[in-house]
Amino acid sequence: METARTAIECNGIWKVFGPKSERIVDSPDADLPRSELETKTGCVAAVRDISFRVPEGGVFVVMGLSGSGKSTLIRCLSRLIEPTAGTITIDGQSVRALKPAELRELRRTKVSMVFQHFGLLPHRNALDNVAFGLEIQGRSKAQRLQRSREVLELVGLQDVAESYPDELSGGMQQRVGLARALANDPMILLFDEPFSALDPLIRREMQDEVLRLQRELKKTVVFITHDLNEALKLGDQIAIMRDGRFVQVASPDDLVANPADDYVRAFVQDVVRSND
Amino acid sequence: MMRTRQLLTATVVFGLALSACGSDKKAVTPADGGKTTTTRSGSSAKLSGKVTLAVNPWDGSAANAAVAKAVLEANGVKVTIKEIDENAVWAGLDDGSIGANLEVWPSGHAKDIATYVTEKKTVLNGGLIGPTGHIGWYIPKFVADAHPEFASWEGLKTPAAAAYFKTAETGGQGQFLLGDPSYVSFDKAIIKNLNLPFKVVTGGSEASLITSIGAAFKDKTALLFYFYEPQWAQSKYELVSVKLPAVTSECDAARLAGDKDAKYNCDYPLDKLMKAISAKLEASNPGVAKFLRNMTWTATDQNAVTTYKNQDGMTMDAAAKKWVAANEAKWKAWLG
Amino acid sequence: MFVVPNVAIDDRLRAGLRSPKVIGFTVVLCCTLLLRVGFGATQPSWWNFRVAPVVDGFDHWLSLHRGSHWAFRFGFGPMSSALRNAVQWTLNALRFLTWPGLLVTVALTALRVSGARAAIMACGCVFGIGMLGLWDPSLSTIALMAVSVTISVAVGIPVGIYSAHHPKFEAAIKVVLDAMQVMPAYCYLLPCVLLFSIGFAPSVIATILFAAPASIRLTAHGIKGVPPALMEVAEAQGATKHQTLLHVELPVARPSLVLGVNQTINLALGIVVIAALVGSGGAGQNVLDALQHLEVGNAVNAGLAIVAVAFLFDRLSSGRTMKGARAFRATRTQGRSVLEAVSGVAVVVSTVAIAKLAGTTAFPANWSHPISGPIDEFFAWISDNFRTGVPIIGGTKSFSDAITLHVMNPVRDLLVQRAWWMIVVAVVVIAWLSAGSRAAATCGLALMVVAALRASGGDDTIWADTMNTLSQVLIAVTITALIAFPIGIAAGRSPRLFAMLRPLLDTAQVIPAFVYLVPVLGLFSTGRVPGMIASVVYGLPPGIQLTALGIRGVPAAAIEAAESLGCTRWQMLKSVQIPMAWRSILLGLNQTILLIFSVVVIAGLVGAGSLGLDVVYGLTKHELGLGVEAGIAIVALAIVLDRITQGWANTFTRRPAASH
Ligand SMILES: Nc1ncnc2c1ncn2[C@@H]1O[C@H](COP(=O)(O)OP(=O)(O)O)[C@@H](O)[C@H]1O
Ligand SMILES: [Mg+2]
Repeated sequence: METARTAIECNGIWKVFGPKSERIVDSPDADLPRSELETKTGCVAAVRDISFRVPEGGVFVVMGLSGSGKSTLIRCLSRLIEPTAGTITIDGQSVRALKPAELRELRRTKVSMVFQHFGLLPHRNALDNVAFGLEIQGRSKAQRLQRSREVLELVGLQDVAESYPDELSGGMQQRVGLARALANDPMILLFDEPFSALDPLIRREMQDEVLRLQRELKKTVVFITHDLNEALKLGDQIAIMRDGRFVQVASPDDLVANPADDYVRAFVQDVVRSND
Repeated sequence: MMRTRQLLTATVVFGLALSACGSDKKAVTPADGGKTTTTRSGSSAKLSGKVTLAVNPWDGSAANAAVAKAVLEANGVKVTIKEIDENAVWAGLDDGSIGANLEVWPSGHAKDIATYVTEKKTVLNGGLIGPTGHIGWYIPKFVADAHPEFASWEGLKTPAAAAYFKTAETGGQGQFLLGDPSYVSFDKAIIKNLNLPFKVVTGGSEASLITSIGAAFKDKTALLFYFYEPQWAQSKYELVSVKLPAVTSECDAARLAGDKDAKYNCDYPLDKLMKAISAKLEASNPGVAKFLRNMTWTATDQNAVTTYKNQDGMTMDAAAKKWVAANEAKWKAWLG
Repeated sequence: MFVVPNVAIDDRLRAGLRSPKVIGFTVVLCCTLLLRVGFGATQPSWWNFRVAPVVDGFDHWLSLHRGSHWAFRFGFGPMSSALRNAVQWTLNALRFLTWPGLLVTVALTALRVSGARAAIMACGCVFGIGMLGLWDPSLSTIALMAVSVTISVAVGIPVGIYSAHHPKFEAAIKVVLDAMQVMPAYCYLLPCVLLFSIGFAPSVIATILFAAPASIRLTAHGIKGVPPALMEVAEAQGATKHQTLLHVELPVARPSLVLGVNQTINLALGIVVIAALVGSGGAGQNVLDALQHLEVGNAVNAGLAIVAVAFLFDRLSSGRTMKGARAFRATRTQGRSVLEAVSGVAVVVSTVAIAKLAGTTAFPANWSHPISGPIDEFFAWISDNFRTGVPIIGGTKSFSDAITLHVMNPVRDLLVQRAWWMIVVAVVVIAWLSAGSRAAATCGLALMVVAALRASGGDDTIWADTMNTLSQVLIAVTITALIAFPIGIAAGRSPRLFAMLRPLLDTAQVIPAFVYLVPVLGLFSTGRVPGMIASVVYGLPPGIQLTALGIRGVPAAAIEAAESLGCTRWQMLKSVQIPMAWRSILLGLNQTILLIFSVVVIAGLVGAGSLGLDVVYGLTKHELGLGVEAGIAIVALAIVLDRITQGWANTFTRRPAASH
């Protein structure tokens, strides 16, 4: 694995929300605790000085409590949220230097995202939802329908292609979301807590599905979760995030064996206990 | 600026009244002189083309237009009737989308006349239509019978009159009921200057005024109100006109100036109803324009037509045809 | 079908009325006090914008240069003829269809767009129009409506989209939109005549001015209501702005857009009546004639024809949108729709051909049975028997007198006789308490503007007339609320009652306010009472409907929880349903107030005097300045009423924060 090409590399990413946010990054204020920073400057530093590298085909899991900045971080990768500072390299391209059209091209072909609340378009049936990205790219109707059917089959939904989102169960909806992300045949898949809204049985099923797809299709994955079991099951590398920073980045075994501090230990203990 | 405009208005209306009293045939210079003097002599003049006539929302106006239409159509002119508000009609006359309006009450349109007839010259004075309008104060006949003193302004000066005519709206004073606020009215000034214990209440429309009259007749309650003739309700209800001080020259001057200083203290003057003709019609169809200028009839004629409609239940067109059939001599003269 | 207001208001909620602009508030207060100290109880003479003379001068200039100035030769002139032609051609096309052809077209379109029930309903409307004996005038109304509504929507949707994407622009036009909707439709017409001459053109323009705001508002509301998550999906997929709009925003906002079209239609109908004033004819002319001759029956007859036109448009436009989630779906399968379209056209063509051969064009006259006769008799009977001499209550006339003496006069005097600065301070304080400092500043400024108006020629000063109008609105609103609230609650709790009331409420809301005035006039003596009653009658349906919808909107879970605790029906109402529905009820009240306000203004035409009368007087007597000043006062007053009542609703949003 170590010899694989680098798919994603981030160095010193910051995201500060609020007025004059770019001034915060290199100032001493950057290290202030959250509430102090907010009262002093009116800014929220959601992501602070994050660096990491994901090799091609790797699964990088980010976990942390709600509000720790996970969603912001993953959105910075494809600039759905504009980072305040730092560099991002995807497949050798410097993302922050891309012009709007190039950025669109990146999102259309290289990076796809799966969302926590599925984000299906209510006026389109499953098939057309999957075809959405291809339509955006301007593919012909025949092409996109064929491709969408293939992908739907891949996630096991060929029978409900004509159903509308409100006729599908949560698990099925997220499979459509997954199929939509896969339809573009991207190099990288970004998952933002994709299974948090599903019940445990379905969740396990979906995790297996992701593992299977990842093995079959060799995608690079960045996966956000707040569930350590999920993280341990899926991740090659797991980053624990707290207050916008990575507290520890380690392999699953390492993480359980050598938690870096009490915060991580608390997480891990929990898991160890629940695994008993 | 304001001053000059008012003066202008005054002269115009005087001028109109004078010219109207003189001769109907007085030549009105059309916009482009030469063309209009084409030879259309004698009663054999052939009419042709088309014309749009305005009808304002009262029966007299509709009767004029219906009769003109009946005669013109019999002579090969295509006539379109356009029902339209009496103020909006000026814009139509101005740009020629309306050929003529056959019943204009000049007292209410001094500004329009000043603007369009005198200043801009896009609308021509078409002479008088014949009937004379009169605005005044009225009471129901049963009131006049019971209290003859209320048929004159002196009788309305007393507290007894105030008490007799008072309503919930007016508190301690008597009510003077006004109708459509767009009609010409000096009642506030008259009441103030004659020291009458009355307050003006605006009914808001002719319809509401007539409803109130109807209600007064039904309930036999007192009512002092603004009204006018010709008006169809005049024949439905027995009304008595209240005597007001005779018109003075000061009043005339105040009236023509729009009575900005509220000096008016006389009766309303007689309103000689006039015709307004679009200069565009004069230019494009001088024959029809001439016919319309020639057209005059009397209040009796007009009432005959409206009565056919209101009491015999005819349509206005049928009523007009009936009149036309019976009065050939009269309308033949208009063709000449 | 008229329930939309709820949503329209929500927009404003978001505008964030509560930003702490204490400074503005203090400034207004200080100014007022300064003025009081420095200039005494009447408005200082220099506080005067001189609106009227300027407007009058402009009016005169316009009259003189219309036709010759380049703006008319190359702008308004061609525009007028284009509009006139558009309506005329539509009318010609409708006439060409013949009545069987029109019936078939309507039936097929409704069937395709909205389903079988709607198709039956639409055919009923077409027959209704013919049976009422108003075939030809109604065609002309339909043509006028079709052109006006099409343009309104064609303008409204892009502007709505733009304003949804540009909050600053939205804030800027909000005031304009509010103003456009509270101004009585009447106010647009005569100024439009100055620019667009007479006939169809000014009618179309006036209608657009009056009706397009609904389309703009609801489009903006719909677009802004698209879940951010969906926008993000589009962005993550690499969609361009244009693609996002086309594939995500517009389809998701479609129900709101269609609602906007519906409301535009309803508003447009209101103006179509008075468009007859400027020579556009149609069924509106019949209403006006009826008003002129006090024929209640004819007024109702023509009013019903207008309602039929309204329903016709509604069935043809609302389609399946109202039916829940399925609404989102565009109907599919192209092959089938082509087939349907082709066969539909074939059916229409053959119908028209047969009709032409048979020589039918307009609806057969001997089939029509106008209902004016019986209605006239009914009203004659009512006014014979109820005007006076009813035991104990005395009859409508004495009722009207009593209301005037014991309710309207005291309230009016209370407002009119206060010094202007006292009113300003009182309103600012009320606005501050109910809606925060920003609303207080807005209200204060609005009233200060009114205080600066000086037109003469009306019955009274603009200020006094404004207070008089305010007193009428307050009384009418109180009465409406007292009646609508209990009925609305009952209807909200009983689905059967709601289902029974619904068609009635829908119908009542599309009848033009003018039609209500005719019968009311006959029953109550001239003055403020008939106007007030007409406005109550007009305000009741939306009041009832919005209250009922609020009650029905209480989540079933809350009701269930309360039931499980053993709540009695009364406890349920008192502690669960009313508190939870309170916010929607107050928003409904806000909407009702604005509607009532618009009728109180129209009621100036039937003796309510004050601002409404000033507007009419000004517009008709060439005192355009007075008309405009009164118009400004109307808008200012509407802003004050709107901000304060919205403030109440907002205050209530804060408590149950989890209302979403
Ligand atoms: N647009 C925004 N403006 C201001 N603060 C934001 C914005 N988006 C997120 N935040 C803040 O940034 C922090 C991180 O949020 P998020 O990335 O959503 O956390 P997570 O996904 O881990 O729950 C939170 O405290 C949140 O309040
Ligand atoms: Mg998150």
